[in-house]
Amino acid sequence: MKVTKINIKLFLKCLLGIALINGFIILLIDPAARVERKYPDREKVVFWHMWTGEWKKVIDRIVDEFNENQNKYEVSSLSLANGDMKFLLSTAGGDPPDVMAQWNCVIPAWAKRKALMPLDSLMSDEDKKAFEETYPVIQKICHFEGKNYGICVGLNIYALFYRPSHFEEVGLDPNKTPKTISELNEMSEKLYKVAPDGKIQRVGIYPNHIQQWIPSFGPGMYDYDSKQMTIVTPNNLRCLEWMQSFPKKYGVKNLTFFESSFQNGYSGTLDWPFITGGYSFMVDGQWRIEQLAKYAPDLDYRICPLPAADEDGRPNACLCNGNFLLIPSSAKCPEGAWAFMRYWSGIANPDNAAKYYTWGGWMPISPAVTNAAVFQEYLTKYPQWKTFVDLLPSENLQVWPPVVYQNFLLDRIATFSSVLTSMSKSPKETLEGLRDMVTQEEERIKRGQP
Amino acid sequence: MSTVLKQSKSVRFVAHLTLIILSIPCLLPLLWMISTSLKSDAQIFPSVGEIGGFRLSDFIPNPILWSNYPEAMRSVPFGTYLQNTLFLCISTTIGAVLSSALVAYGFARTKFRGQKILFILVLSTLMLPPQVTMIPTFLLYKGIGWYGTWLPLVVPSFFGSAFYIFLMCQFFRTIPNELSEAARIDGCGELRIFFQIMLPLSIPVMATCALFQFIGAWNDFLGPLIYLNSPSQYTIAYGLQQFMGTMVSQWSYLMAATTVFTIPIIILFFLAQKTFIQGIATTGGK
Amino acid sequence: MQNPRETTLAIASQTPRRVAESLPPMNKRRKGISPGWWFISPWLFGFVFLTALPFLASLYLSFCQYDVISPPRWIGLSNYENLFLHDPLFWKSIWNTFVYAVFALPLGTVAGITLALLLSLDLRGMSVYRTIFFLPSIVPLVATSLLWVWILNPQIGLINNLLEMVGISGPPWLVSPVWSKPALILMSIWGVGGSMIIYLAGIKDIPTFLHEAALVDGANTWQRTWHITLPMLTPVIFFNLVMGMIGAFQYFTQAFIMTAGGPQESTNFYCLYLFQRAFLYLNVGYSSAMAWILFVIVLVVTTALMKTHTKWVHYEGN
Repeated sequence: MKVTKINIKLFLKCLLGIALINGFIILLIDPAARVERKYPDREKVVFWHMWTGEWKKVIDRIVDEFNENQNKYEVSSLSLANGDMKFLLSTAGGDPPDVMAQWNCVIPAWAKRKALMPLDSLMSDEDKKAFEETYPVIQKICHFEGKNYGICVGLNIYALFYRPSHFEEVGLDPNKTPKTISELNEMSEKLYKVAPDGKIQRVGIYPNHIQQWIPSFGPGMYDYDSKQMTIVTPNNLRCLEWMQSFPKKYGVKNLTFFESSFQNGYSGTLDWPFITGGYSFMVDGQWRIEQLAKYAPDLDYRICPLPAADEDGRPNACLCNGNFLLIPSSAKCPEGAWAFMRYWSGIANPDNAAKYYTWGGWMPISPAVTNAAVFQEYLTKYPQWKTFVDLLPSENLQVWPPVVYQNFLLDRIATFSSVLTSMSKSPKETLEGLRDMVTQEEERIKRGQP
Repeated sequence: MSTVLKQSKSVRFVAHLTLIILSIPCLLPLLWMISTSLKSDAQIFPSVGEIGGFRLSDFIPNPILWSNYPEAMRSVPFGTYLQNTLFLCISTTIGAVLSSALVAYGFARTKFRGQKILFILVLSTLMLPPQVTMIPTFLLYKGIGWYGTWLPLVVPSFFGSAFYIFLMCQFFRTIPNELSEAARIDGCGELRIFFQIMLPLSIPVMATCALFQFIGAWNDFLGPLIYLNSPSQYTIAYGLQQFMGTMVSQWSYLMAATTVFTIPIIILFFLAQKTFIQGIATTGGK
Repeated sequence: MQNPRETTLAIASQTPRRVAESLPPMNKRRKGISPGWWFISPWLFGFVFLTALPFLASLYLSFCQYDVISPPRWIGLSNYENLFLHDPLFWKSIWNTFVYAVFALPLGTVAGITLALLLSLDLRGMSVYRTIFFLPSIVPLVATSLLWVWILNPQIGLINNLLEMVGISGPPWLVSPVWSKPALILMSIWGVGGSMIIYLAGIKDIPTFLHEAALVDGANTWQRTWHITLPMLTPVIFFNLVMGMIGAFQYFTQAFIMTAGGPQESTNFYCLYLFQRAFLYLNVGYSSAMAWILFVIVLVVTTALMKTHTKWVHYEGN
C-alpha cells in the first residue's frame, strides 16, 4: 500500500542523527572525567556534608588542614544543598560516602537498619578513653541501643537570651536572672507591653515549642530504663499548662499576629525578633551569639540558663540537637573516615581541634577542648558563650528520644505545639493526642514487620 | 494577526486598564528580587525598635549595593555552571520536542491496534507521583552505570515526554484532515506529511513545548543533585542552592544570583512569544 | 528554499476534496507494521526500558516493608491496611488535597482562559504583557515562596495591609489552620501563567478564516469568542483540565517550602505526606502504597473525564 508507506530508512536516519549529535555534545563537554586530586597516591576518603555558603568555607579549611597534617588519606568533600535525598539514594545504591555530616534525626532509624558503622570498632583504646571524657550529652546524642554511632561536632544547646535595658525600664535588676518558672512568670508579666485594645507590643516570654520546655519540667518524654515514650506525665502536663497560660492570658489572635509581624519573608535567621526589641526573653541556641556580633554588634544582651519548674523541675536543662559526623556501614574507607573524625572533633588532639570549634561557633565536645588556649581566648572574645559552656556538663541536658520514628515524632511535636498554643485543645488533650499518634506509629511499625 | 480582528477604541482602553492592573502582582516577585539583591544584610534585617507595618520605602534599597552582583558571581564558578546548564537545556529541548512530536503524530494522526490503551498508558506515566518512582529509577540508572554522568538527565528526553505528547496530540487533532489526506493522495509517506505539513502547522505548540522544556531544565535542581557527583558538572539551579546557608543565609547574594539566573529566561520568553503571535494565519486561505 | 507552509497550502489547494473522502479508512488491516507504531516507537522504547521498570518496582514495593537502606521484605497488604484503617494523617492529607483540587482547578482554568483571551487581543505592547504574566512561572520558586510568605503575612503582609485600607481586618492566612489552604489556592491562581501560555497557543492556532467568515456574518467579538474561539479551544481546555487535575493531586513544592505541612497539618497534602513518609520517616514501601492509591484515584477521574470528552471536546481532524 503506497498511500500509508513510511520511509523507515529515513526515519531511522533521523533518530540516529539526533542521537549522534547528542552523543557528540556529551563527549565534548562532559567534565566528569576532570577529577582533580591533590594527593593522588593517598587513600581517598569521600566526605559529604550539608553546609553551604559561609559554612562551606569553614569546612573546606578543616578538610585542607587534615589533608596537610597527615599523609595517608585524602579527604575530598562535597557540599550538598538539600542533600538528604542523595544520602538516602546513594545508600540504597550501595555507594555512600565514607563519612557524612547529618543533622536530621537519623541515627536511630539508620542504626536500627545497620546502615551506620558503630564507632567502637574503629576506636583505639586511647580514642575510647578520650571519648569517655567528652561531655555526657555528647555521649548520649549519638547513642543507640548500646553503641555509639557518631561524633556530634556541631552540638546546639539552648538558653534564655534577655535584654537588660528592658529590665531596667520596668524596674527589674538585670543581674538577677530567673531561677524558677514562677520567677520567670513574674518578670515576664512586668515586661509584657499590651495596648488597651489587647494588641501586644512587647512580649516578656512566650513559650511556644513543647520540646523546648519539657526538660525544665521533669525527666522528659522518654524513659531510658523501660525504653518507652512517656508523654502523658504530671510533669509534662504541668509544662503544657504553663505554656497554654500565655495564649489564655494574652489572647491567641494577639500572640499570633504579634509573632507574625516579625516574619518579613526571610525565614531563618535575619528576622530574629529579639534584636528588634519585640521580645525581652527568648529561648535560642549558641549560634546566635556570632550572628548578633555580626548583625547587631552594639546590642546589649545577656544569657542565662532556662529556669526550672517550681515543682519537680530541672535546672540547667534543655533539649539539645546537633550535626553529627557518621560513617555508613558500606563505607569503602572507614579507617580514613575515622581518622578524619577524630582529627576534626578533637578526640585526637583537643588543643588543635579547639580552633575548628571557634571557626564554626560550635559547642566543644569535651572539657579538654574547652580548656584549650584557643577556645579560652574565644570565650574572652564572646563572654556570652560562657553560659553555654557552663551548661555542657549538666546532667539535665536532654536529647531527642532514641526511637526509630524520631523524625515522625519531631513533626508531630511541632503540630501539637501549634494545637496547644492556638488553644484548639487543652493541655491534657494535647498530650493525649500526641501519645495516640505515637502509639499508632509504633503499632504501624509492628504490623509492618514481615 | 490579521487586521479584521482589530478592536474598537473603548474595548482597547478597558483591556489595557485590566491588563495593567493585573500586571502589578505578577511584576512583584521580580521587583522584590531585584530590590533585595541590592540591599545590604543590615537592611534586610529590620532595625532596632521597628515593629510591624508595611512601608513602601522598605522596597527601595538604600544605599544601593551593586557590588552584591559581582560578589555573588565570584563565589560560585558561574561560567562552568552556565555552560552545563545550557548544554542540558538545549539537548533536552531538542530531544523532548522532536521525539514528542513524532509520538504525538503517531497517536493523533495514524490508526493502529491498541492505540487507545497505549495512549492511556502514556497518560498514566504522569499519574504516579515522581517522588515514589525516584528510588527505583535511581537504582535503574545506577545499575546500568549512568550514575555520575549526564546520561540520566539527557537520554530520557529523547524518548518523548508524556506531557508534551498529550499536548501536541490535542493540537494535531485540531488540524483539518483535508491537508494530510491531500498529501497522501500525492503519494507522500507519513513521515513526509509529518515533516512537511504537521510540523510547520504546529509551530506555536512546538514553541510552547520547547519553552516549557527549556525552563524546566533550566530550573531542574533535583536531577543534577541526585545524579551528578562532581562540582564541575553542576548547573546554575543547583549552584543557587549553595547560597541557601544552613544557619546563615546570604539573602542579598542569593537574590542577586537568582536575578542573574532569571533574566535570560525572561528574555528568552520575550523573544519566543512572538512565535505564538504568528500563529498559523497562513493556513486559512483555502 | 521553499517555505514549508506554502507547500502545505499548495497541496491543500490542489487537491479536490472528494478524492480525499474516497480514500480507504486508515484503520483497515494491512500487511507489515502500521506506521503508527514507528511514530510511537521512541516513547515505546523509553517506556519499556526506562519507565516500566521503576513503575512495576514501586508497585512491588507497595507490598513490602522497605526503608531504602535494607532490602525490601514482602508484607502483603499490610501497608494498605495501615493506610486505610490506622492512619489519620493519610485521611487528613486526602481531605486537604481534595479541598485544594476542588477550588484551585476550576478557578485556575477560568483564570487561565480569561487571561489568554485578554492576551490574544491585538493591542500595542502585548508582548510585554505576555512576558509579565508569565513571570510568576519563570521566577524560581525559592524567591516566589519567600515573597508570598511576606504577602500573606497577617501583620505586615501586603494583602492584609490593602484590606485594612478598606476597613477589613484580614485573616491570619498561613499561620491559621482555617486560612492556610485558601492562601495556597490564591497563590496557585497567581501562578496561572503556565496554562495561560498553552491556552494562548491554542487560541493562536485557530485558523483565522473561521473568524473572518463569522465577521462576514456580522458576529461581534463576544459572539466570536463564545461560538468560535471557545469550541475550538476545547481540546486544549481538556488537556489543561487533565494536567491541572494531575498537578493538583500532586501538589507539593509550595507547601513543602512554605508551610512544611503546618499549621496543625492543615497543609499536609497527599504528596507532601508521601514525601515525608518516603524520605524522612524511611517508609518507602508505605509511600509506594500511597502512590498507587493516588494513581488509581487519578486514573479513575481521568477516565471519567475522557468519557465526557466526546460530548464537549471538538476536534477538527476527526
